[in-house]
Amino acid sequence: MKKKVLTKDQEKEVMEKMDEDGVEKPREVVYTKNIDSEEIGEYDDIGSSKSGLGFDPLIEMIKDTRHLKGFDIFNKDLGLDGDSYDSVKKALYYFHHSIKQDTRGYDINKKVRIDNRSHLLAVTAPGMGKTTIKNQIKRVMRDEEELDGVIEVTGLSHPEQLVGKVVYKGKGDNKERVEKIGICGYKVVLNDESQGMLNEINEVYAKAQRIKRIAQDTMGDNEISKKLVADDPKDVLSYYSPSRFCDFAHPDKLLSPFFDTGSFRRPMAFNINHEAEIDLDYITDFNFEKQDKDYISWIDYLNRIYNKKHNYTQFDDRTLRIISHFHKCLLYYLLKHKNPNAFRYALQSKYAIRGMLCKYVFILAIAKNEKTPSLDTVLSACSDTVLFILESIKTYNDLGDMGTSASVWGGCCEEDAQALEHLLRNNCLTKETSSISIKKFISLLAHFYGCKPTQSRGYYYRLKKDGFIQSSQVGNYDSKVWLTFLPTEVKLVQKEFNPLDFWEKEFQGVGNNMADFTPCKHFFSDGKPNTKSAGFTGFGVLTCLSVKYMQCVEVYGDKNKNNIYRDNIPQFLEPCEPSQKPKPTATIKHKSQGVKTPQKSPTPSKLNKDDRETQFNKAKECKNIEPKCTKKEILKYYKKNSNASIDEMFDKFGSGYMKFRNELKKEGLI
Amino acid sequence: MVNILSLFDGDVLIEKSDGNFKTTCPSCGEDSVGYGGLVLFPETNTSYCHASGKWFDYKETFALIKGVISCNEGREASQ
Repeated sequence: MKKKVLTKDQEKEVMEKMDEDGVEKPREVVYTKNIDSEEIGEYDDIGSSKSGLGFDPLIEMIKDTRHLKGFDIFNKDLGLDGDSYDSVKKALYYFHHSIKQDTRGYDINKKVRIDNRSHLLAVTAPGMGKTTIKNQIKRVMRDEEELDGVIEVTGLSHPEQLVGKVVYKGKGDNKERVEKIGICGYKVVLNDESQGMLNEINEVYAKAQRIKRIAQDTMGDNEISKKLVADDPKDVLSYYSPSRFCDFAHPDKLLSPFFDTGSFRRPMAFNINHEAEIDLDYITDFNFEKQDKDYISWIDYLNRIYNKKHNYTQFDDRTLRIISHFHKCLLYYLLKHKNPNAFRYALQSKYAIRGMLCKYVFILAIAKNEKTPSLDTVLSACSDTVLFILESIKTYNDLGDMGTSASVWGGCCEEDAQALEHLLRNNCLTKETSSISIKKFISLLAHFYGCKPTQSRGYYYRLKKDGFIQSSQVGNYDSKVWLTFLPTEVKLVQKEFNPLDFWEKEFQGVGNNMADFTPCKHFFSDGKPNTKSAGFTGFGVLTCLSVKYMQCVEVYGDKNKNNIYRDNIPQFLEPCEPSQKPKPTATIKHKSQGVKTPQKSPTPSKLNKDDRETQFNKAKECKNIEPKCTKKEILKYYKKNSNASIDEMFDKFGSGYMKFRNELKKEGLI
Repeated sequence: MVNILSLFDGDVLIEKSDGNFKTTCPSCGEDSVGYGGLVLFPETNTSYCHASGKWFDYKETFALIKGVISCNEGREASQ
C-alpha cells in the first residue's frame, strides 16, 4: 500500500487551496504585481486642508465706504463696477492718497517706525480691470515728473535695474560722479506679471525680489545700495527707496519662497475673481453720462487736498490704545483660527500687523490734514486695515499654502512638507498610532511630486535619512511610517480676555449699555455678553468693527464734557444728547452716482419712507401689483381730506394707492 | 487531474534531454543547475528532489509549493 505522506490536517489544507481538478483556487485577495500601484483610498484627504476662513460676515461689515471722503469721486473715476472690487477699491483709495503724499517716516517709539507708503498686490485673471487700475494711477501721477512720477515695468527687472548705478563723466581731474537711480527710486512702481518674481523661480528673480523687499520696508530702514568693483567706497550708490509698489500677478500658485522670505507681509493682497452672477443688461448698458454741475475729477480733488499746507501728524495716547486693542483682537482671532493659513499669517506677522494698522491710520490722518488722528480716523483706518488683512489671508489661502512652508518643516521642500503634514494630520507620531504603511506613504509622495511611486521611493529614503520619519515592518505584510520631527507647537498665552472691557473703559454706551453694538446684538443679553460669544474668538474683531456704528459717549474725567460719536455722520464727531437715537443708516444710491449696487449697511435698519416709495413704484417686481382702488376714488378722498397721511390712506385703500397718488400729484390735481 | 507542469510558471522550468523538466526546489531551495533541483516527471505526474532524495505525487508537490510540507517529508524511492 502506498504510504501517506500528508497528514489529515495537511491534506485538508491542501484541498482548501485546490479545486476538484487539482488546479489552484484563485486567491480571495488578489495582489497586483504592478509595482506602481497606489494605496490612496477614496476617502484619504491628501490635499492641504483649506477649511473655510469664515471671514465673509466680517468683510461685509467693513465694506462700508461712507467714512472715506471723496470715495464716490474716486469710484466714478476708476470706472470698475461689481462687488468683487469693493475691497480692492478701498485699498486703492488709500494707495492713491499715499502716492500723492510726500513720503514721511514717523518714529512712534523706539521699537515702532512707520511711514505713509502702502504696497498692493492684485491677483487678477485677464479682463478683470488690471489696465483700468494702472491707468487711473497714471492719471493721478500725470503731473509728476522724473523720479516723483510713475514707472511701469513688466515681469523680471534685473537686480541692477532696480537699484541703478554710478557712472563717471569726463576724464582725469574732470571726472565727475553721476548717480543713475534705478526703478526703486521712482515714487510709484507698477510691476506687471510679477508672479515669477514673487515666487522667486530662479536665482535672478530671487535677487531682484530681495532688493524689492528691502525697498518695501519702512522708510529709513530700507536703504538699498550697489557698489561696482571700480567704484570708490565713498562713491557707492545708496538711497532710501520712496517707492510704492503695485504688483499685478496672474492667479498662479504662490510657492514656498513667497511665504518663507516674508514677501507676503509687505503688500496687501487682493484676489479679484469673476462674480458668481453676471447681469447682462448691466454689462451692456451703454449711454452718455450726464455731467453734474459740481463735477470734479479725482485728480483735481486730490490736488485740492494736497496743495494745502499739511500739518505734521502725530499720534496721541488714545490712538495707540485703540491700535493696540485692534492688534490684540485680531491676533486673538487669527491665532486661534482653525485654518492653518490664517494661523500662520498671524504668527509670521504678529508684529507687522501693528505697523500695518499704524500705517493706514497715518495715511488717513494726513489725508484729512489732522494734527492728531481723530477718533473717527483711527477707528475707520483700523477697520479698513482689518479688511485688507483678511482679504490678504483669503488670497493666500486661495493661491498658496502657508502651513507647509519650509520654515515650519525644517527646511523641507513643499512636496515633502505636504507629505509630512499628512502624517501629522493622521496622528502618525509613533509606531503604535500610525496607520500609514510605507507603500501608502510612497504613494502619497508620488502624488505630491507628480511622479510614479517607484520614483518617489527615493524621496522616502531621503526623508528617512534626514531624520524626519521612521518606518518599520509590522508582521509579515504590514509596515508603519511615523514622524520623528515635530514642528514647534505654538501656544497662545492669554488669560481671560474680554474685548468689551476695553471699549467699556474708553466709551460709555448710550441707552441700553453695550446692547447698542447692533450687529453683535445676538451675543448680548441685558447689555452683557452671553454664552453665544464664549466660543467665538472673532468676537473681539466684531466689536472693534461695530464700535464705529455705535452710538456712544466718550468718557472724560469731567462728567459734563461728553463728546458723542455717532454713526450717521461718519466723517466728524458731533455732540448730541445721549437720549437721541441714531438716524437710519441705509441708503440707496442712484446709478448715475457711479454706484452699481446699493451699499450694504452693517446695521440693517428699516428703510425710510422715501426709499420704500421708490422701491414700490419703480421696482420691476412691483409692476404687476393690482391696486384695490381707482384713481377717481383717491382724487375724491383727497379733495375731502387734503391732509390725509400715508398711513391713513393705506389703511383705507390698501396697496397700490400710492401709484395713483403720485400720478395725481404729477398732474397737479392734488 | 491536470499535469504537474501546470503547478509551475513556465519561465522557471528547464527541459531536460530525456523529456522531463527540472526547477528549483520550493522547499529547500536547491537550484536546478547541473544535477540539482526538483525534477518533474510529466508522464507519471510525480516529482523528485535531488537534495533530499524524496519523491512526491501531484498533491504532495502542490503541498510542497504551498509550504505545507518540506521536501524531507516526501516518500522514499521504494514507497
